[in-house]
Amino acid sequence: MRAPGICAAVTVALLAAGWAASAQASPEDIMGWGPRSPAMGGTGAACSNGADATYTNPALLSRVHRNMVTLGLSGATFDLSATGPQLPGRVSVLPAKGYVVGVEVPVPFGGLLKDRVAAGFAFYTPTNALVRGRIQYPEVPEYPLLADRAQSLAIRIGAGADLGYGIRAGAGVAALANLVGSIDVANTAGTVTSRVDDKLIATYAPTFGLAWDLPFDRAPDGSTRWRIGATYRGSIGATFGVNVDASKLSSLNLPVFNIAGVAQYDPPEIVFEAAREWDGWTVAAGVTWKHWSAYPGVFEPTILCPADTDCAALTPPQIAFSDTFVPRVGAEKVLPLPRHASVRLRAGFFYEPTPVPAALAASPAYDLASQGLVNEPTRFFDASRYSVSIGGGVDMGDLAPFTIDAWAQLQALSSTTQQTCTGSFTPCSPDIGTGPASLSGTVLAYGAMLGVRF
Amino acid sequence: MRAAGRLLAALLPVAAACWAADARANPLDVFGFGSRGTAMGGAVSADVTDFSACYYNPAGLALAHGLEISVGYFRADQSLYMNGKNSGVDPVKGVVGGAVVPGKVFTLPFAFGVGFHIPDDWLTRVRALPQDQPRWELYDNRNQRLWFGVDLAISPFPWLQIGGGVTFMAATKATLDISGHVDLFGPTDSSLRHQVDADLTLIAYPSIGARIEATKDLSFALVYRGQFSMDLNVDANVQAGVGLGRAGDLTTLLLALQTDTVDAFLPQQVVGGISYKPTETLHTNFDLTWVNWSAYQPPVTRIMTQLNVPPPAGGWPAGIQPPTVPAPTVVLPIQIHDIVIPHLGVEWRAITQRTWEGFLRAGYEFQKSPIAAQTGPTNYVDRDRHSVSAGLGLRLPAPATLLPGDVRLDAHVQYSVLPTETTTKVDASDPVGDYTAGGHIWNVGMMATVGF
Amino acid sequence: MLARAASSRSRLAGPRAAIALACTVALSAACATLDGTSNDGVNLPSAGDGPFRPLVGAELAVGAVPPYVFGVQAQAYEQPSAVGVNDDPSSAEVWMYCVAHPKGGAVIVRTHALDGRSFYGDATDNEDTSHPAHAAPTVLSADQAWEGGTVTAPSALRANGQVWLYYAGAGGIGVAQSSDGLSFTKVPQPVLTPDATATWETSTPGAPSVAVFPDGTWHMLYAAGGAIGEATSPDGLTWTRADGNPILAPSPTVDPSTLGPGETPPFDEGSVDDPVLAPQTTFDGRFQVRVLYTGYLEAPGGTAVRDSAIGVAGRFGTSGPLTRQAAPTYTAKLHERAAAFFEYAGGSLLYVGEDDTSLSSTSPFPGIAGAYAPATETLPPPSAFADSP
Repeated sequence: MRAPGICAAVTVALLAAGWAASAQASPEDIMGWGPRSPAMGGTGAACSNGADATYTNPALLSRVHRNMVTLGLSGATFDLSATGPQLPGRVSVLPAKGYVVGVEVPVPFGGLLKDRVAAGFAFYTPTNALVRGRIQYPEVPEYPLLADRAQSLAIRIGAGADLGYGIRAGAGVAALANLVGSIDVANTAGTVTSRVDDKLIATYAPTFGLAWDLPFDRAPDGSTRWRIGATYRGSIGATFGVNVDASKLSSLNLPVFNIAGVAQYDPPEIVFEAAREWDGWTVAAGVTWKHWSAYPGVFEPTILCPADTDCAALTPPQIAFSDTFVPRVGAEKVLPLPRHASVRLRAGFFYEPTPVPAALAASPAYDLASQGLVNEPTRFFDASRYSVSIGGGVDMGDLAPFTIDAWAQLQALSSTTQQTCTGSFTPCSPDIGTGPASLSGTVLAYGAMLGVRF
Repeated sequence: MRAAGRLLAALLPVAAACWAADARANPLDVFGFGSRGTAMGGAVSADVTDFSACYYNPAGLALAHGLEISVGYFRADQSLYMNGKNSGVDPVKGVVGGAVVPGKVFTLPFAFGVGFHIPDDWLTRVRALPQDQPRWELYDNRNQRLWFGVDLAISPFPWLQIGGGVTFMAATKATLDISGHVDLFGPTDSSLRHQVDADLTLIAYPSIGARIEATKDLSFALVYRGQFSMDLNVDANVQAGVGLGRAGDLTTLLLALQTDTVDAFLPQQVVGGISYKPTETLHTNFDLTWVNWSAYQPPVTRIMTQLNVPPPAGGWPAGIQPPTVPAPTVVLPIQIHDIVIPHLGVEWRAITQRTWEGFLRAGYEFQKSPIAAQTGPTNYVDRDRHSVSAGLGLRLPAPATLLPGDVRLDAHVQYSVLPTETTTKVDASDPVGDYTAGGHIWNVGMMATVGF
Repeated sequence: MLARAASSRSRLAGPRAAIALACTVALSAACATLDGTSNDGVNLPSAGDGPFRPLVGAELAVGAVPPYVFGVQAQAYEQPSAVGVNDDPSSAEVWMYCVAHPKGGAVIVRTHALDGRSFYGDATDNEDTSHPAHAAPTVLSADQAWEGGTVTAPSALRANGQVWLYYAGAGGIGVAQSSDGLSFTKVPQPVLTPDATATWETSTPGAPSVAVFPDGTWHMLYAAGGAIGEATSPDGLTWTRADGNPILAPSPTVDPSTLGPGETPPFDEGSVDDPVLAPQTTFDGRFQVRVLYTGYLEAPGGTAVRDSAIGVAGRFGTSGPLTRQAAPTYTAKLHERAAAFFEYAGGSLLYVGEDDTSLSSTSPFPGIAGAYAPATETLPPPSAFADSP
């Protein structure tokens, strides 16, 4: 198979696209990507058939047999609350809104690979900012795994091949970037001089997919009805680390500030899914394992101790994230119309458990009023989500080379509590005057897309 | 339906402007894009149909006959000297490639193209230096960045192709807040925390091109590339108690640092090109590029500092000096003017066999330095640049069953010389003083293209 | 590297080679955008005379108080002059001559640093109890009638195999010579005395700084009457005032009411003093005279300590007036004055007398502070203290 060369070339294009993401990661992990998968509860690892397979399972890009460009909008609004002592009730979160671009292109090899290989490109960019990196003091109430993760560019590219015997394989990559650099400020002869040197370094995560068209229960025309799919998505994150050195600005012996953190992170994921397609129906069910326990957390110390030396700089709180399993189900019904046009109706459901523990360690801070160290609560809020989704679309068939699709998801946060422990977690001793926080809320995600065949 | 096609044709550039992602930057202006274009001195705006049309002229994409995927590599080693010493300007190197996907919407030829240049070492580098520090302004940092272009093109008539897209890159705005306690005797023992709020916002500019085929052998091109710059605005606020050790605060420190940097400014450009084929095997091309350098903004960080550290009640202890508040940065203007760059290129199909074809290419371009002599306090070093280039091409039609289209191999070498000249300072007390500057650049690379 | 390999293979034109090439080149993308090292402004041209920034803690010996490189309260060192110990352009080893004030007098002492920063006999050096206390030895004291009991403003240079030490006394400028830089023999009479025909010299010439130009002519800059003059000599002993003196006068006074927001009056509108003569030939062969000097905001004569900063001026050619940079090349607002300048391949070091508040909160005394250019660069860690003066 000669696809690796092409795949790599396409991969390069993806890496190229990743330049702009100096922080943050994939909104598709929250609400999915594409015209079809989000409406079907995020399923697709066994049933995608377009550019959304770039995310759900690149092996299924091999089902693409015509060029298509998809353009659209998607977004989400958040109604999140945290109640309890010293808490605001409603947590202010900006809505997410972005453009979606998808491209699916069959690669017309000859010979053995004729009509077997295709490539796809999936792109999402927020409308108001390409990416947002916001890390607040731990005591500021926020839902960091929901709010800002949706405010980020997302770029994926992949290719899939039909290997025969109903087996399909594919690979792809997602790209982001880390920001590293330094800002040195000096006072020379009474005037500020500076040197700014920042670099964006690419980070990327592979995606591998396999699908198998099961050889039993075939339709009368011989086409397969059952397919299983599996996808591995590597971890991808965006960090920033900028050293601000103002030690030469004045005669004060200031430390070098390490302005660093993890602005976005998607854990490694493995997806298993089974789908059945018959008489215009597609029904899929699967589960996604998310390796959240590998998440390093968002906080970094402001002062780095010299190598091999202990120092008294503050250490941010560590959070013990736990792995999660996300069950998903989805269905689609295609209603045929004359001249190969059709109407498509879709629905789905998923349950996303929270990886954040119910008890968190306190955050040390220096209190200017008392001129001493104090413990602040760590308000890194998150809760499990139930999501129901619906969607629909029209393929204009021979009438015009267009498709139109739309979807909506309602994600409800299950009511839960979270508290900060200053000492032992068992039992937790929330004795810093804040008490437990009660968390709840909803997320409404939506999207609409236009596809153009060419 | 035909009316709908015309409507779509009119809307496509608009759609491109709304949706296409095309992050143009500078390395292509200096070193070309792809081996064929570089070998022909960049004179291909009226004679390009492959992925490099995303840069040279998006309209050319509409002439592609089938899916093409290209990938290659180039490296430009910059031996640039000041006062006879190598300035250590980093090489520009990386992977180059792209793809062209032609098709039809209704009855109109339509094409989608993507092109990229990815540096080896980083995607982009922002570097702002003190304004009096000598630096090779057009070669040092501006070319250290990724280029990524996506374009759409149509051919509403057989003699006319139109293409374009929107280019975007990101501006950064960030606020850093640092609070806690600064230990002046043991800075690394300071009890400090930080929070960050950073946005990368979109900067968009248009890129559009047209190609007119006057006769079978004569074509004209007109390309416009918009202006671009990447802003980096970082504010840092420090509010901390200041003391010796952790035994309380002597005083408080309020430091507000505002830094504003304009980096990678790319001036708008207009390219006019002509391509003439005196014989079936010979292409002769000529391009003129107008570059609006007079709008250039130098990458100097403007800094405003507010430092407020009231003296302790009992005065500063022994060993601690009261800090002084520096004056803000005053950015000196750069004298830079528009230029017109001529490009000449020829391509000769020297060998035509049943199973392969061989091509020889050559080119020349001259870029007069747009930067005025640096006789004052600024030191944006630049010199005129003459570039001669040559290249080889090999085309293998349908070389294998799997590959029903062409496979092409192209290689280029480009030698640029920047004649050494002396910059003579007017002011004998100038902190940099007189210097000579000049050098040369070798640029080599190759591409492989698979057509379908 | 992979791409280069691919390049060499491309000559094997053919379908297999083409596909192999495409794959190989594409695989090189896997190496793309990994973090790489970058050069940053190496071998940049510089006149070498600033702007300077104060030395910071990591650039000084452990325990030293930045930016001071040489200070002992009982000695109140000031008015430094630096001269390289050897002819190696990469060496920062330096002798520093400066004025000490033991018991209220004024003598000239010498100290020594291997790295231009860690000076023999500094208070920090003497915190090391593993060796006997180091004290910078006196190399010149007042013993001539014209000196009026004090010797100040040393200016050292190496010429003709000798160390020449020019200095100021009450009656003018004198010179002493030494083969080892420690034992000096004075020329009995001053080599430059007041001249009634030089009407701008309203005070006795002092603060000498001497250099030998490429044509073999000796040039001396000196301060008098709040301005800087020049004299020339064929042998370093017989001096003649140059035409067109003074070569640098205070900047014209600016009416404060005409200043815009954030603007300050010229830092040297009161007087200019303490010249440091540092000639050089530029890379392309043009002879350039660089002069560092102390600029005072107020005119001399008042009782308050005047605001001062270190400025830089220059000219092309061997004679004529100087032009100056509007901004000082060094200022820390600590009454810096009487600079010394030392240049080596690693950069430029500036030494200035400042009122050292670091070692006593009650009675500031002069200490010698260090500064460095290029200001955005950082010096490597310091070496050990020299074990001899």
